[in-house]
Amino acid sequence: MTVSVLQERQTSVGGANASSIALAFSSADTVGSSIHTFCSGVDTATSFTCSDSVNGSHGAALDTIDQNGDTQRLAQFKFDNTAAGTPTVTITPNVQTGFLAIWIREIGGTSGYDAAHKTALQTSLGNGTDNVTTGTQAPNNQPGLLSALGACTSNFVLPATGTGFTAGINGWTFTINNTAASESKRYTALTAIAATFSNSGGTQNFATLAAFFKETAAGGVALTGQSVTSAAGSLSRATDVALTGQARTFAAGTLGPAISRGLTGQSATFASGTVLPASSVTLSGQVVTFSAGTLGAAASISLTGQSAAFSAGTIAPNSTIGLTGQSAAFTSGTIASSTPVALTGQLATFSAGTVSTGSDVTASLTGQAAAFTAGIVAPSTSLALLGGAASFANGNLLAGTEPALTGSALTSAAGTLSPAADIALTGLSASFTAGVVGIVGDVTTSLTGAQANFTAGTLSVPQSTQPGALDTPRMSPGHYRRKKKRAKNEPVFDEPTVFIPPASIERTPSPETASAIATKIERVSLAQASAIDREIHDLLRQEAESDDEEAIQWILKALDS
Amino acid sequence: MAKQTQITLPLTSLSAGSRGPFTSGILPSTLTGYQIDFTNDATWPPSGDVITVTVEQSNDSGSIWAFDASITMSGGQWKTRQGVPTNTVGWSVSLDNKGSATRKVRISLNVLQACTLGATVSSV
Repeated sequence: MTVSVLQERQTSVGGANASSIALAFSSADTVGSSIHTFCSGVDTATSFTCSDSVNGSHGAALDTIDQNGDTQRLAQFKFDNTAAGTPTVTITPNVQTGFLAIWIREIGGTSGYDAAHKTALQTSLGNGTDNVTTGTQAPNNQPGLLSALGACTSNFVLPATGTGFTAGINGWTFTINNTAASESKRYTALTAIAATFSNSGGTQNFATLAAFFKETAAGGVALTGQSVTSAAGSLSRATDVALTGQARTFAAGTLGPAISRGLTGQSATFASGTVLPASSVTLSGQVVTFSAGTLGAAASISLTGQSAAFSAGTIAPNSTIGLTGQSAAFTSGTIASSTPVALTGQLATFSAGTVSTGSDVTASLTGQAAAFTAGIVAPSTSLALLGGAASFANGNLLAGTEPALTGSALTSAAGTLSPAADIALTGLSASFTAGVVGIVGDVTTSLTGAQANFTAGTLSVPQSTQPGALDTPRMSPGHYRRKKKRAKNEPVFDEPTVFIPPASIERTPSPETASAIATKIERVSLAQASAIDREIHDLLRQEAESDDEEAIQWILKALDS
Repeated sequence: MAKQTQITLPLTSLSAGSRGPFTSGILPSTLTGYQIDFTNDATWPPSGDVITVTVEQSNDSGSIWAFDASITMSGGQWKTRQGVPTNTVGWSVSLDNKGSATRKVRISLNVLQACTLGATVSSV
């Protein structure tokens, strides 16, 4: 629907003080229209308020201007998205004042005020075409409608409609009948434009006020500009929406079924909106944010950009979410079952979120720095963090989960691994710090790398009455040394793996073992570090089982060198 | 179109309370609005709200009435736009649904303070 003025009226009273003036539209407003209101009064009143009987307050004035030489103060207001009904619009000055006047316009085919307006006061202006003007102002969106009022504040002439404008009505009878005129112009470009009127009544004073209103697109909606906002809107079935520009915001709206929405630009935000089933949202740009929204079942969302964030949102089952960019963050959100999540980028963070139950719930974080912080991964889910620095900190990994951290620096700190969980840390530096690995023999932890540390963690084990129990005396701290004194060469343990921190080893290897290790050390290279490390580990185990302390001491010296 | 008187309320002393409605005949179909010309005298109160004038409109010869416009006039000297004291002021209201052959207006007064007021309602 093309944006236009659907109806308008005006009324004015002479030099009797008045405390309010009210005027009804002649016909019911179209639901969703905007109301553009102008008012005027003697400038003993310094402000006005505007409200109507259907929609309530119209909020603060867009402008209040004073042609003080003529003691005339004018203001303009707007109200968007009118409800059903025939509004009576009331203007109330802050003090009783004379020559009170109101002018009301219903703007149809609009998605609301375009956050652009312009006013001007001109004095001692001679005759001229289009010389009564607001001056130029660029709209934020196109197409749209420029709605304007030109008033002769010296009250002796009627300004004529400007070139290219559609005339409205004339009104405001003060000294003469009709001292003001309204007009409008539909524009289709973002070029700055001015509201203009022409003066042919000799030297006069004028006030001009104008506001921009966005046109509602039919079917597909495309909003392009420096700042594009879809606020509190509702998009119905089978609608496509594209917002392109420096800053785009979809706030508090509802996206119906089979609707796709693309926000592209420097800053794209989807805030508090609801995406219904089978809809998709694509946000691309330097800063991409999906915050507090709800993604319905089978909906997909893709955020791509330098900074992509999904915060506090809810993703229903069978939905997908992809965040890609230099910084990708999933914060405080909830991911329902059967939902894959992929965060890819230099900084990928999953913090405080919840990944729900479901064997095919997967969360994959890939990038230079991938962090899973304080989140909860429900049973039968999998989590993979890949990148230069992968961190699983303070998370709670429930039974049946499989987190894998791979990269140059991997940290699982203070996390909890429940029964039947597998965790593998692989890389140059792999650290499991202060974590808890739950009971049951099939909890496995594998740390591989040049520096692999299991520090201060607790590896829980089956009780002695359970198969594979590890809570025997030989498994308690210090048991190994005690065992050595009592029964030399007795195997310390069979399975599962017990990590032997190098710092606790004080032995000299046998000549045969030392020779074998020396040969392996010569073969060490960065590329082979992981494999050699494992072989050294195996040798250390053999030495432990043979209880040869001298061999261990020799190994330590060799490693130090 | 030419100004045509539709309702005349002579200058009258009014005590607080409601008056009216005072109803016009069928208005000219070519009108662009209506104007109410008020007159007062020196007894007009100096301050406070004095009277609320409400106009209703019917497009079916008076069966259904709908609010059209209102003004609450306050105390204080009436003046022209040039600041000269006067006892007459006009209130003009536009109408945009032209062409109706069954339009009427009616006027109601809610007197808030005792005053002396006259009014003439005209189509314009």
